[in-house]
Amino acid sequence: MGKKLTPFEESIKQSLENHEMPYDSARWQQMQVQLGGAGNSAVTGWSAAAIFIGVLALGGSAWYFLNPDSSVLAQRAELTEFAIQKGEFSAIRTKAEHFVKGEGIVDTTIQFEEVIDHAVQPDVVETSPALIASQDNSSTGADELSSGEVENGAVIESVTITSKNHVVAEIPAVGDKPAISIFVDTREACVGSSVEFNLSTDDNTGVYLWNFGDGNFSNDINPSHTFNTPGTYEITLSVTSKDDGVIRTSSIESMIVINPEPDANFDWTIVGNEGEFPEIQFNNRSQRATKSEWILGETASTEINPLNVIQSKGLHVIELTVTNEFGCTDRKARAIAINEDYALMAPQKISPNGDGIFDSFMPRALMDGSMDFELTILDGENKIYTTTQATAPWTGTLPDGTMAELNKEYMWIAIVKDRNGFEKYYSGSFEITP
Amino acid sequence: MTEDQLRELIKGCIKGSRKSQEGIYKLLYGKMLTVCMRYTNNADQAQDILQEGMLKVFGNLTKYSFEGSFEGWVRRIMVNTAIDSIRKKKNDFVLLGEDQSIEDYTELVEEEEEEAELSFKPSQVLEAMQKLTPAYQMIFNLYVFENYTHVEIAEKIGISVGTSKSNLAKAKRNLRKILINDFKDHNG
Repeated sequence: MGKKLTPFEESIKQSLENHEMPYDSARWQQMQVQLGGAGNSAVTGWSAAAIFIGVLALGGSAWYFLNPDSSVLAQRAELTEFAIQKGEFSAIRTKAEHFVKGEGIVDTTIQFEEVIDHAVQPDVVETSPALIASQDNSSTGADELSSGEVENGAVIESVTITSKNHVVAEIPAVGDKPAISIFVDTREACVGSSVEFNLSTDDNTGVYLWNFGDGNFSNDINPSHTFNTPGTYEITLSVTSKDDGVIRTSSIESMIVINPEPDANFDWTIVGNEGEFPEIQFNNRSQRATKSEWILGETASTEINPLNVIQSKGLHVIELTVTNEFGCTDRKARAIAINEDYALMAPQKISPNGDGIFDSFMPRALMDGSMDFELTILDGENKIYTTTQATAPWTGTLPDGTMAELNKEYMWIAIVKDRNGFEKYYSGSFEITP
Repeated sequence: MTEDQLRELIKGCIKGSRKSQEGIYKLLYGKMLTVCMRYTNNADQAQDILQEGMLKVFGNLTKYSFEGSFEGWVRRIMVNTAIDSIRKKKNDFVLLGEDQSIEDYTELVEEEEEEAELSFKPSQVLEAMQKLTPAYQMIFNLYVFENYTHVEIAEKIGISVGTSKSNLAKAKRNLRKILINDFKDHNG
């Protein structure tokens, strides 16, 4: 390359040339999720994630019955985060939904919308007068002509304007060469979205040179271009006739306005004390946004900082789409892995023998009476006990007055009203022990 | 790792072996994260670019021809990923025009030569690099680390040669200032 670095440049370069950041295996976990089903080993990204969750879950739940006080916190959901790559998003989401449905708890399905990264502003300048660049040139010389004055003119009536395209300028007719109208599909767009330019001709006897005003050019007759920096762009089109070399140029100031996009970002914290719902507070960290839309696992919200309970085990996709005043959007998706079902911290065994220890059944989370609920105990399909009172647990007495059978498993279902008045279903089973 | 072992790993990745992918990932992680750190303002951004770049590496391994250094090939992907991501996201990616600065440029070069013997730890250099603005960072990276000439930089990011030169000079001046202010005393 024949380039010599100065000693300062060389010393900076040398100091980092063989530098290595320390390896972080958690990043590989994340990478596997992103790689999705591409791997063909026994443990794919997804199942590896699931196993990972499983291992965490085993960490501290089985002791609940024996030692209810110390294990309450372990019973609660632990969260693990995976970043998700755009392309992997749908796959993960499908899996997450499947995972959730597989638990048999969630019976509502959110219709997920198509992921849109850059929303293009709808046509907003439909009726504004077209800018006509007038360039009066009757010479047939080959010299390049400077671009003409830009002035406001009338909408060109003779051209069919579709609802989508705006005529924004015209290359004037010269001699036998007809005028060429310039169209764009939008005059206002978001950073990163593409703008289409079209001409009223497909005559390829000329050489077309588009200058998009951001340092990029195109020789296509009908190019499309993506602007990556917000701003107002002057677009210049030069048409050079191949036969006689006549150059016609039209330059339109402020032809395209590119609006900035917001920056979506969020994190979360777990709130709620022992015995309460394991609520997750989502903290909106977005910038330059005026509107937020959340998909929180199996529910949705338009609150800025929503609070939500995710009760079922599995990988739940949290997606935040933010919009700014220009209608430009940005999206961030992350997944929360819930290590185990939140089942109201219900005991898995009771021993109704009158010794004062685990004599009755009431899920721990319902005991303080702060929530409206209806708890039903079932023997197979048969209801054997129903209560709405935290102070009235099931004591093991069957409807006929006899005691429940030893070593038998009973089902329970609780319908609980959450803080927003929505009913949530929880269920589980427990065993009668001596 | 021998060349044959590397070749086996790459072939394994192409077949979709998760174990081979992990091997390649481990092999490249440290160096490539350093590369990404140079183009960003914090470790999170660098991690994001690394992950995106690694996905591209895994997705394009069939295109690697086994000619030339594998690390170099990966590094080019990382650099391009970093540049794309910065151009896409950064509203503050504003380059100084060339007008005011050509003249300062020669002065700066002279001023710089005098302090050439400064030496800093890699972690300090990285930290200082991350404090540069995205535009300065990119020009400095392309010129010093990626061996681009000013003409090539001008072509790659659509600026003039003069702008590239003056931004490099200013990037160096800032970098030196940061290094001296933040670290010189600690290094004795």
